[in-house]
Amino acid sequence: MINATNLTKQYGAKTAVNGVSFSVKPGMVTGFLGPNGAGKSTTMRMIVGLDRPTAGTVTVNGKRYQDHAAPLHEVGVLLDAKAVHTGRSAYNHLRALAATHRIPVSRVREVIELTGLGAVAHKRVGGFSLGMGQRLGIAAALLGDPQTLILDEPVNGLDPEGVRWVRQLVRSLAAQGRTVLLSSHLMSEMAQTADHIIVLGKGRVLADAPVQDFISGAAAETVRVRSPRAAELGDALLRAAGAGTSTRIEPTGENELRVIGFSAANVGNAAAELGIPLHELTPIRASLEEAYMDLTANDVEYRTAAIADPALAQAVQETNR
Amino acid sequence: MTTITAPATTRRAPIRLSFAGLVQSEWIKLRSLRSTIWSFALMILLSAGIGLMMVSSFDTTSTDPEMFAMKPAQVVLIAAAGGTMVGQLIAGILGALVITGEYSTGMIRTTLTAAPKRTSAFLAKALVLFVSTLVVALVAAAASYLVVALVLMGRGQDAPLFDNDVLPHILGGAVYVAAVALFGLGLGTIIRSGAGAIAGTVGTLMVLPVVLQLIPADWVRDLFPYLLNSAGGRITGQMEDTAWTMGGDFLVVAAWVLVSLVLGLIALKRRDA
Repeated sequence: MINATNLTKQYGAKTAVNGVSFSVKPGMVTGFLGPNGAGKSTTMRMIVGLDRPTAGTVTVNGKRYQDHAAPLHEVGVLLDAKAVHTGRSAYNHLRALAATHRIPVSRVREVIELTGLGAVAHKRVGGFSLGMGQRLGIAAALLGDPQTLILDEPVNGLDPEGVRWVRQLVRSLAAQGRTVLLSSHLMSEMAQTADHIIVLGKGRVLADAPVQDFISGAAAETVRVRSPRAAELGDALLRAAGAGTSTRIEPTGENELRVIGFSAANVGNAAAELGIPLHELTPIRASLEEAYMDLTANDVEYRTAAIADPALAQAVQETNR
Repeated sequence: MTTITAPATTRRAPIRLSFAGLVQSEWIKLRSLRSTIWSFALMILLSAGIGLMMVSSFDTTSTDPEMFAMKPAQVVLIAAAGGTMVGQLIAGILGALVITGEYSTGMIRTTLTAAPKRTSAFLAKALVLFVSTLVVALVAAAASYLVVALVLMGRGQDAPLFDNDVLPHILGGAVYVAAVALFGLGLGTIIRSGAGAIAGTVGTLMVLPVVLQLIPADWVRDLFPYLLNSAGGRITGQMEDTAWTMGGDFLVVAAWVLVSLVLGLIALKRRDA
């Protein structure tokens, strides 16, 4: 269990984390989302005492991280894959870390096998790929058999097999009753892994909810409709909704509409009343990505400019489709 | 990485952070880096090499009163002092690198998450650095002495070691070298960048004495005996000053080391890592 109360961090004039309160519960995977610069990493660093909060407190299982007798047994943390001396071998890195807590060498070998580092364990870390570095970081986080896992972007740089492995690993750790806090920018991955979502934006908590609630709460219902009289149906739906609602009708092709703000049942009933034939009526399930994008649209710290080159823009659109 | 094995839940000895564990960890860290091995090997090799150079270049056997013949004891001391002067530079740079290497690679974050109160990790690092540098400096001094003694033996002369004006200087020199490593560690913790910390350490040892001598003011001249390098020179027996005892010399060295370590520890405790 992680409890943050009014947690604040200022770097000079810049407020990275601004009065954040949340709790991360055991037995589930909590996803930590937010645009770059939202304060996720800073919050994670404050949890393990690397950064000192300007105000507020954060505790792990009731105590500050620093006050635990065996910090590595309490929290396993992967902050970034670069927290390793490049001149040392993976094995020696883990052995030195294990020694601080009198963790036996057999456990070092265990996490090396577990993370698939066996073949490179005695090579110097400087030559590791990003993915190998991540595996080493995960091995270090697991070393103390911790009750709480904090993983910042653990799948960054991993191959698809590694991504799936991390997903299964964190799911199984949560199933054992451990607390797991996980950040990632890969929304589809997060949707498959997390039970609960905390979203930060510009240093504040924007959302703190179970994944399903978050998705259905943040994104309006959307239905795809195909009909030979699509335009007529669209007009009728708009009239029915009345002015000032969030209902939108977007033509997406010949005889095809995207209806936002109506359920599939409502659209079907309306069509039946008007005697309009329907060729397709598909509820479109909002994705975590859409819900997240809607929520954070105004809180992006580093916004990318719109793509000016029309050919490139089209290419991007096609990849997104 | 294909099998999902849960992290071990079988309990062995209790997992707990301890100072003894941190010392062991720092020992593993120190000896698992090539830079340490190179630095220590270089200290021993250069010390022996300088010993050979010194003993070869001094005439110890001439009875001609016109020629200035060195006593064997003097050659032993000069050789050891030469090794100490080079050894202090290597030790100071190693001390600086031990901590700045952690900052430049990000390792410091791993170190400080394992020991979040920080002080014990820093003290363990200082202890391991001091003891291992001291042992290597003693080996380097022994190597220097052996080379000198062998050459003198070839000339049919003894190389006195257990004299009251030989052994204390040699042992003191080794302690001094280990102390300079700690000075570098403190400076490296304050500065955090390898280049800056090395410049600061070498500057304090080599440049500061030269700069002070260039300033023609009496009070500046009065400061000169209190320089780290001056105390080192007296400890090795190369700078004669009857006003100073070896105890006084080591007080000066301890002051430099303590100021550096305490400021380093304060910086380490206060700053975000």
